[in-house]
Amino acid sequence: MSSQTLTLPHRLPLASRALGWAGLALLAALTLALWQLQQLWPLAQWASAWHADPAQLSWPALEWRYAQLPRLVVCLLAGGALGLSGALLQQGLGNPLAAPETLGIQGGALLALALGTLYQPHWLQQGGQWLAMGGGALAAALVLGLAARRHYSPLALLLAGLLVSLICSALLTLLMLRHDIALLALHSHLAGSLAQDGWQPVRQLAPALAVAAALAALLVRPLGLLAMADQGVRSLGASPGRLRLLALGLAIFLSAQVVSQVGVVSLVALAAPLLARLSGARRLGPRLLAASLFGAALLLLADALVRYLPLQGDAPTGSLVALLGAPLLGALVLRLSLPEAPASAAAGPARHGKPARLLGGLLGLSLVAGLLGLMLARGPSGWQWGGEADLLLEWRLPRLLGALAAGLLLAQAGVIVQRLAGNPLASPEVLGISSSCGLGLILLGLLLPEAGRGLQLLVGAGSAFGLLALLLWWSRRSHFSPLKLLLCGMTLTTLYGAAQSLVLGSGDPRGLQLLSWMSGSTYYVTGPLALGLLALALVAGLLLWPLCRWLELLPLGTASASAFGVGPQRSRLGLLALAALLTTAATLLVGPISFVGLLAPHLARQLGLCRAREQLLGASLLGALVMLLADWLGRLWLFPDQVPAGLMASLLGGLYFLCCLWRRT
Amino acid sequence: MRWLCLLLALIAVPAFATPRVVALDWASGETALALGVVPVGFAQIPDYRIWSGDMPMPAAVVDVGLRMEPNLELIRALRPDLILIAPLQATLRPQLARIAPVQVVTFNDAQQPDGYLQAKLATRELAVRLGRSAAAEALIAQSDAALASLGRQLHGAPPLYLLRFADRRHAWVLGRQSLFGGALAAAGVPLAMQEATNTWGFSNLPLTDLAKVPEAQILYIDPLPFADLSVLDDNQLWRQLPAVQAGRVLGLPAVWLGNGLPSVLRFSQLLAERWPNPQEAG
Repeated sequence: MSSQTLTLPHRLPLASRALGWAGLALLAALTLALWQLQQLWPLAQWASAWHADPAQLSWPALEWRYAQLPRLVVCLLAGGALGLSGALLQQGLGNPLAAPETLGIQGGALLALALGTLYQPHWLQQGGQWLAMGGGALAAALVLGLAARRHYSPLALLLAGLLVSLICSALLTLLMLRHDIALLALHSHLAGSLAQDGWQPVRQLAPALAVAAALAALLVRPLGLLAMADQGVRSLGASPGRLRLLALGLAIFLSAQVVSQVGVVSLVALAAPLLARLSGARRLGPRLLAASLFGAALLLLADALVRYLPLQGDAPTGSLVALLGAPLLGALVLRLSLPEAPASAAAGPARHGKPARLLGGLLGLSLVAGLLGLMLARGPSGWQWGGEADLLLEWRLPRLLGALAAGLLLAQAGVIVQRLAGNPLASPEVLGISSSCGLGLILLGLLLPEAGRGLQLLVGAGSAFGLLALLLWWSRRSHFSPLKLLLCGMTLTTLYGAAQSLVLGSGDPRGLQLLSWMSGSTYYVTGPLALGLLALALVAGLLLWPLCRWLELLPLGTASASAFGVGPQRSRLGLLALAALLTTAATLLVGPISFVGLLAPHLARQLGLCRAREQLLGASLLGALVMLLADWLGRLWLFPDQVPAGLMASLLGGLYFLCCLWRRT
Repeated sequence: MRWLCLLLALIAVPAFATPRVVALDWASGETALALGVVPVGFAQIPDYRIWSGDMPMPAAVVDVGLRMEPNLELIRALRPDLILIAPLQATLRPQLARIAPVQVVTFNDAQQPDGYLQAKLATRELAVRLGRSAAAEALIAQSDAALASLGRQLHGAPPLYLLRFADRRHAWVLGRQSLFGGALAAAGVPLAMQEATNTWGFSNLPLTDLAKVPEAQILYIDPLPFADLSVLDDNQLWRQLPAVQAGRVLGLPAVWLGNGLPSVLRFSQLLAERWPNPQEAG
């Protein structure tokens, strides 16, 4: 690469330099791919194989013509489409982190495809791109509708996107658990397999990309105006709202095409425009072009490299792009200067006048929820109240206690992390701590399927603590910038999703078991385990009680904390270790995505519990309440099938936050 | 050996009592049903109906929820004497053992190269536990006879690729270690699939791999993961497969590859009905 650097004189204008870089990257990827291709079928015979009657061709020639060559072209087209769609989204929303996966477009499209597979299979006859587009557009409309109320601020957009994606993925998981065999067809889609068997996807993607590119070219000038403030755009006679909508519509169209024809390919749409920006493309025209070229180069390169991995069958390029690209993206983001949103620490209702009374009320509600969960259930002969003592005490109670313990653990971890980060959005789930814990557990499950609870706890806590330590180091550089923290969490959630779809896509039947366990079932909780975790939660609470002074002071900043005699480094490290342990214990119980760690501290604050101790108590009670309700509803909703409590909690929490975002102006 | 089994069975199960059985594995469940023991509970009945085709399922049988996570309280309420699970469900065992004795019935064994033989072994094992050994021997004899007759009908048939489409580009291709693969082998019908398979005896392969044995006949099992086979017309490689070019593609109605001998009977009956008659073909 160093010799290529020399061939690019620095005197060139920035735009040509960016395009030069993008072109070079594409050329390198293309060279590798073509070299691989001519190993399959000699270059000298390409022309004859192309023109011959397929019936006369040998099988390697057929594979060259109908599998490998279209695969190369699909990589170029899909990569280009993703790059372009990311760049359009980022321009339209004035947000360097917008991408089909961060705006929920991908999640919505996948959910629509899954529903189509189950209920309207004939809609998928032609590949289902319209269905995917409908789902993607609905999800994006929801995200944008939510973000519009906060003037499309990058933070609001990301948060809404994260929520919608997580809800979509929870629903998708639910469908996959209930219709395990029917949705197997979706697994290779989820893993983003680029294998081809003809030119049909190329025929779909090429005109779509051409039309979108032509429209984008027409729109370059007006879209370029969007970088200005809205008044400026209006004074030039353009309507910023309509322009935004056009850019978004194009981007949704492009990414839905890719999801339906290829499957899930994450990160390319996020990384390609970033690369274009970093290589110096400032103006919109060159940036759109450079982003498409970078996108094509990235996907082609990944697909060429994937073949060297020791995997059986089709290598799922999409998952591997996400697995390999996520750390790279993290590094890229660190170099990027992001528009800083002011941390909305001040936002929040005034302190509640009588916190003790409020806490008492919450305790009462939790008790009622616990009683309902224990007594009211569905049985073989319909609804039942109560039952034999051993049914209640030996079967229902351990599950309830497990859910309760998980709620307590996550709420406490959430309070710690939010207070440490001085950020109401920080939580074990949003920061990706739960995901990294889940990632560690997936790897452990694959490498050592017989691992006991002890080892699981160790590995899970190790990966959670590793991530937290990384965040701590990072926080020195970015001062816990909320945007970067969110992005970090999203990257990890992407990684986790990719690992999960890799396992599912491999066709390993253990994958389904993993899916049920990772989506947070209280199913395997036995009495002793529940009591152990409950004890852990109580001990942690007792430990935290005297530490609440730290939690009160640390958000004020390092200087003030030291002034009050709190050594920031040591206290932070200790609190982080505690949060990691709590998160791991909870993740073992209810899986990596549950929202309770975000929901409970947030709700407590909304109710006016501002002081650290009040918030800790209130959040614990609320976390317990939510998890108890989730476990109960999960058992009732689809009886006799059961919805895992973690999944149910993330649906409940996700819906609550959607309402929150909707109401707040 | 057999009388010893019978003796053991007589000791284990009171002679006239039909045990109350909850089957969490479809293979054991339908086998128990065929042996005359109607399970009180059966897992994921709606899906069983979709994937297993027209198999009997008495209305009195209670659906106890998903196979991977059955409803424990419901199973407990059914007061079973015995719970049947597959090895893959072994993680459920500690919980289930609190309700009733749990029997792991191994219809698919990674170490056993012949899926049909393994199913016969599992059927006998289950019958001993249920005290239905005579019925099991009758079922096995019936199944053997059906396969022998199928073998006579398919004599001289090309090697078969037996598969279920997983999506537009992949199929679960069954080998000898699978139930139906082993059954075809027992009938003397050659299998084209020679590659390594998983515990269930299949491997998820790209459709292009079906070109490896050019003279093969493709036999696919419904339901399809797409609306109908015309979806594959877009797939150039599928169209160029030797078997497709020569029109050697045959479909069978739904019959689940992870079941037991009753499904083998259904499979052989369906295949015998659908297999083109040499006179008609000529």
